[in-house]
Amino acid sequence: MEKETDALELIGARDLEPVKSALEEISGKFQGSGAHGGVTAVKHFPAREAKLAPFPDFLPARLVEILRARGIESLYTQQAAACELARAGKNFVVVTPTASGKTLCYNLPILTALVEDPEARALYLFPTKALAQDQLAELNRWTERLGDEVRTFTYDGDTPQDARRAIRARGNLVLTNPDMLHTGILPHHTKWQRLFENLRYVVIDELHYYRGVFGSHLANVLRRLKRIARFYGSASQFICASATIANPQELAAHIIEEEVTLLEENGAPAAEKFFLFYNPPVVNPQLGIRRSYLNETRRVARTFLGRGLETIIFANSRLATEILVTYLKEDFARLPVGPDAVRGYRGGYLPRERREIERDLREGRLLGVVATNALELGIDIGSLDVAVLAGYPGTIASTWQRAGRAGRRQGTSAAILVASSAPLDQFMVQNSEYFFGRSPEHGYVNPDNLQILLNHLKCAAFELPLREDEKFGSLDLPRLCEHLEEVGFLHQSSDGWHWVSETYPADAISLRSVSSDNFVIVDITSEPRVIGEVDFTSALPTVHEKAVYIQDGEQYHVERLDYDDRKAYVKRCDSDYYTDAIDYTRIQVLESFESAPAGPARKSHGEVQVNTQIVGFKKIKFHTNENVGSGELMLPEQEMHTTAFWLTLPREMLEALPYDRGERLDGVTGLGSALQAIATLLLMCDARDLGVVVGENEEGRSQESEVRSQETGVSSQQSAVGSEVRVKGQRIQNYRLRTHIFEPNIYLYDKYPGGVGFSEPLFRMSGTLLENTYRLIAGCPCPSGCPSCVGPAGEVGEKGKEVALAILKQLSVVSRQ
Amino acid sequence: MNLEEKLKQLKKAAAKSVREAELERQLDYLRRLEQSPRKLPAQRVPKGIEEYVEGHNKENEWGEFFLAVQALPFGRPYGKLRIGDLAGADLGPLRLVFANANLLDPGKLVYLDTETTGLAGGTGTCAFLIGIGALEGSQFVIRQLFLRDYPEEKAALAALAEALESYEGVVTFNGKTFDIPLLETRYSLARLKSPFQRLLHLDALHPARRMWKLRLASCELTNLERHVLGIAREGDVPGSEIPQIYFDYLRSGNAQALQPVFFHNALDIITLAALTVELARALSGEGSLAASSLDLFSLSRILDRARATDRSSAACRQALAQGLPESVEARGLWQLAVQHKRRREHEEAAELWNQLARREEPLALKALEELAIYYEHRRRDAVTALVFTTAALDRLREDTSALSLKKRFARRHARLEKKTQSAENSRVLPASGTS
Repeated sequence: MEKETDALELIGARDLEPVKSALEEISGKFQGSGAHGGVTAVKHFPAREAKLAPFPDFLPARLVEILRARGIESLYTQQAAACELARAGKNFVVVTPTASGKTLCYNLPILTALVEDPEARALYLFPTKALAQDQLAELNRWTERLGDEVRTFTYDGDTPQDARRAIRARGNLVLTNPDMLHTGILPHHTKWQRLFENLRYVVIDELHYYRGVFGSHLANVLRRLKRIARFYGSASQFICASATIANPQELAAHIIEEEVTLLEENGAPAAEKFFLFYNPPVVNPQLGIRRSYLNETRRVARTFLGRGLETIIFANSRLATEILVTYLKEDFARLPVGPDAVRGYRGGYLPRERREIERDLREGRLLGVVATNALELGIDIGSLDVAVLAGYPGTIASTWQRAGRAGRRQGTSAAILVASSAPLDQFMVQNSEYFFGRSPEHGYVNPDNLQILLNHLKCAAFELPLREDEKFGSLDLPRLCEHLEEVGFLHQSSDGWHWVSETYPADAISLRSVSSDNFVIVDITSEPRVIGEVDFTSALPTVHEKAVYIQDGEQYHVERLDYDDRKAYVKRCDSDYYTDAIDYTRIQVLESFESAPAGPARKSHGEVQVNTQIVGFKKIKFHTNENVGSGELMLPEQEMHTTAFWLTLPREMLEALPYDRGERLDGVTGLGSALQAIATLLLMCDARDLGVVVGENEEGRSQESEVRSQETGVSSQQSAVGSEVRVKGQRIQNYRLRTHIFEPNIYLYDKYPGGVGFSEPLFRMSGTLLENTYRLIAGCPCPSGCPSCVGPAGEVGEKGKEVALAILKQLSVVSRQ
Repeated sequence: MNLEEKLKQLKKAAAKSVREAELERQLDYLRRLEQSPRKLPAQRVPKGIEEYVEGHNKENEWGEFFLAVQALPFGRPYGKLRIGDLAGADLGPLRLVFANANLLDPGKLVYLDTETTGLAGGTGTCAFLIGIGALEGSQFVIRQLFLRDYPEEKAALAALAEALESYEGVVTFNGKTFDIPLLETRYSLARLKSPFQRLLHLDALHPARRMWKLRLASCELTNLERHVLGIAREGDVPGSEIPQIYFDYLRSGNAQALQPVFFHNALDIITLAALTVELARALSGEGSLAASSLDLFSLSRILDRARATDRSSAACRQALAQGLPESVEARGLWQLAVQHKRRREHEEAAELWNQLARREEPLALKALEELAIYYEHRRRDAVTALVFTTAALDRLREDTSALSLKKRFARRHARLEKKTQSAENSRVLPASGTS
């Protein structure tokens, strides 16, 4: 790896082409030291020569002709390797960065199969409809020249009813998404008989997308697909493509439940590229407040745009997108190109408008575009000079995908990450080697999550009767069928279990949301109007009565919560405070699967029961974060069985620390917040997917521990609170303990009933977890805790940060570095 | 926690969230079970149907199923018909509504209706009772193929295919979207050849709607049965309860509740046959429609669409003479006018459009447009055409919905103004020349 200084010298050394002169300006003006702000890392990627391979000899002449006509005389090594692997009948997963010829890795083998055998069929799965559309356009460039042999169609919710029959009968390459496969194709497989009889290949693009709940669902959808293919006498090969993550092969193998070969090489050429990390300077060291990252993004973007460099700016929310568009249009109004040279691009725009922007970008008619993740994946917009990322996108994989939007065949390109003050942003900009090194991000799934499995078992029975000797996951299938019979969904006949319900089970099962049980938000300011939905788990803390609900920057006061009908009635308001629900969470260990020492502490993973109840809320003033009032609530208690990873901090170790009991507890609480932040990084999940609770470790049978909530109305710092606070848009878990806890367990639990496979990996990765948690906290320049590390000092006390670090040192985390 | 405990836990959790429709169903089921205690699983092999429905076990190379047969003699009255009418009817007029129906020998048609495990469609919905009815000698014979359990499906489907062999057409009610695709799915799943690819399929639903929907609020089969055939079903089992009755039977082995389902299915089949005859009669201008001007007008529209213009005009005039509700009357006038135009009887058409144009009625605007066209192009009278165009624009002034219509009138108005102006000029100019 290049050293930072070397890279900086490189920028200045050459004659100043516009990208480099802009980078020099930024590095010069914005230079600063690590945590306190400025450019914290410069990574130089020198131009790389292509590694080429000849066309494999089995490639049909017609395809070679088309490749040549498109100006392609040879393949990149990974493309040739993909053809060979497919030829050998292997399942494989391709891992290559953006713009390195990934799609040819699956298109070539599949077009070969379709040209060779007119009856063969292939199914492509993309996580979004837009990606399928984009890929269709790419495939059409082939099919135009191939004539009628390859008949490619997208099949999704937008496909007109009258076109569907023709697609089912004629299409030999069908592009769809897992949701459509789940609700529209598998339950109607008899209409797809031709496809299933001849299904040779299934392609799963953007594999890294399928992790956690979504991935666990997909694995089950594929179990159903394979069952149906077997019924029609076929078995298909799987080709997956993934962004760079730590365990693509493992993830692919867990999702398709077959052996998978990893194809990691990358023979694609690349031009010179720079990647900079920029941390806005601290303006208030006490509160850990930095200069607004949006304003800083504007400055950075202007430096490039002002030199006429085509620039894409990524923002993490719709609101941030709109703010940046407004800023940049203001800046451009004063320039000759005018404000129209920059545009916004996000989900809510009309399709026609989006196509227009995509075209203008490809053809270089736009200078700048501010986009959400809507432009992160696939969509063909050509290559730009510069990508500016306003805030860390949440995962390293997406960061690379966004940065990959900048990169010309020739000439220098650049990507800049402007950090917000969220913990992960801060961790990343201060630990750049973590980012530029081998990816720490893992994708995990748990296809045998009982609830998910049972749901798909219902769908499977609907599709074909379940036979006693079948395999569907690793659990005891007859027993599961008996259960479904007991609850009235199945009936056992002599030839297996049959679906006996009038319902269409796939309709009730969403592959993406944690629960299909959503609360609808109804705005009753004037004419009642549905403005959004909130899933069940986040509903109670955010739309309880009297809560201030924020959507798209607008504030709403929750007038009434209709729990039974799952509706929240809200009115627009303009308040100077937000609300923060106070919950009461108890966690109880049901079974410990594994336990091992972690320094003087103990780590474990196993099954837990989590009981949560929202008992009140606080009103917190914007900006100052003052507590300006509170209220009581009595919402139904939620009980969930799930899996957790936990860390037991021995009493002797804590008592040996030179702090009082209150301070020790603050430290444990702060440590919990920081552990959660790092765990979400390792697991590529959202803070919403992983709960954190601190509870008393009670050895022996009754391992119940609890976190008692604040007695509403009492503002004592000593009473216990388990709550979720929003600080600058980031959710941070905060727990305050009742002082009787002597031997605390810090639990990180899957916020999905039954667990989605996070706990065991956390147990295995505990070393990495603790080590990086230490780095996060130690690297944070705040004096005594801020939202970027252990939580604000107001929440974790004056010593919270110090104690958290002291505990981590005790766990001999530091020596490991 | 082992699997047993987890499942128990799931059940408990499910019982907590009372919202899911599925759960409601389960609870309903449990409640019902409490009322009629469930039999032991050992007695799962169902035996009960013979006790309640006349029929017998049937066997073929694919296994067994239960077949109920009943024959209705021609003399048996059915509403205002007799069963024998099914044989004697002239089904020829049905060609008006079934474009592909070239063979309409009543003896070559089979009437089909299924009872299923739901309306959801897809591979998980099964037809557990398939009824077919057809003429045999001097009887109308209904055969009902019943699955005492799922494994009997293949034998029943094979038997159905065999039974259908001697027919050329199958008549259903809503079979196009429901029964036939469902059965085709079942044939695919059973890996048997579907007989429906060969058979001509006549779905009576849409023709019946076209014939009677003006008069009847609902064109559901039972409503048509009541109002067209004059039969009031009593004690019929509601269709929505049928799947659950079958599921309960599968669990309990007790077939008692299935008896009314067989009855319901048989009635549907006879009604379908009778309705088909009644439809043919109505289309020939006989039947009950003599009494209803609305049915007459419906017939006129069917005739019009079948391009039997003269007969359509006659039926329409007759309906108008008998009196129609105002909005329907306007549609009648419009249709007559269009038919005049088609016959190049422009004067007569203009006369009717004139009548329509005076009404407060959406069709009045279209009539004004036709009048404007008529005067501008046929009569070369731009001034009168302009009058009608202006009148239309006046009416449209407040209307924001008919934008394209408005645009058309505005263009016409501009053109006509130019025409009338130049006409005036050409009249004025020579005069000034002489002075």
